[in-house]
Amino acid sequence: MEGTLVRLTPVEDADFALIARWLQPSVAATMGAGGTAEYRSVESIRSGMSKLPLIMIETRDGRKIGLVQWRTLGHDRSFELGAVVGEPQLWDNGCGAEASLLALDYLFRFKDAHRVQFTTGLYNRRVLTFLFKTGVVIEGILRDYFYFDGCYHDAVVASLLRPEYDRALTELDGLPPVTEMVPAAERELAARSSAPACANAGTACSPIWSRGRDGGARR
Amino acid sequence: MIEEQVRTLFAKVYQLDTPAEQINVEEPLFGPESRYGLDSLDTLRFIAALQQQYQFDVGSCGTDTFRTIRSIAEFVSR
Repeated sequence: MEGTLVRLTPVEDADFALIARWLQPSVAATMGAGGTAEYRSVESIRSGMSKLPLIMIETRDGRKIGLVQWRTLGHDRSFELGAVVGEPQLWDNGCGAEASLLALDYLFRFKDAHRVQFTTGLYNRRVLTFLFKTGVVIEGILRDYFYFDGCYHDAVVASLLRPEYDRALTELDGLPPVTEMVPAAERELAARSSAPACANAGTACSPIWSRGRDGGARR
Repeated sequence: MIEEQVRTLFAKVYQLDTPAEQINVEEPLFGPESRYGLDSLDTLRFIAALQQQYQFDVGSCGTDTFRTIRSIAEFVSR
């Protein structure tokens, strides 16, 4: 998945030390990972990958700046999504927002998600603003959900369902387009090639890959 | 010249009440220090508008490129 500023890439061996540093108690982990900062060894992160996939956020010039992670929650089309941008000086420059949008697109367009959930601290203005602006629905407050800095902190739980995601796509004007895995030229060529066959069969031809952000029907 | 264009585009994209000429070319545009209340998602929107106008490859930008009108103007005029 590739955007204008960043791409999502698989974790490589060399990345685990970076990830361990980002997830340790720090401002970045507390703000990004929703207060779940802890000291973890490279080995424990590596072994936890089977239950909690980690995907690296990489800038277009190849710099690893953070990670996104998700897990299923409740059923296999329901996910909880989180993201960490490791260096505070990299916040507010669009990279974190774009990585989160790419991860959302991946979950809805490739994992057939029906629901994606977010849990973040009530103190986290950046993430809350992102949620409000992307049409994510606030579901409630989790009281005293996090504990750090010697006190408890409330959290916000929010989610996006498939129809809300579809609506958000049309309402988020002015953002860079999502990269399609099948190039538009290939799709057009295939549609033209398959049109006579469909016409002969007397059925409408609507390839699944013609649906999506560019105006086709969605589920 | 480019600074003026970028400043005008910035005011237009976010439909600011502030006239373009009152935007300081060195003030932070996004994040908690921004007086416009703009965040990471807004940064992304502005980059898309800049790309449409200047046709640049964002791959060569630095992490601070889109912080101020001046840094943006320097980048797009390369």
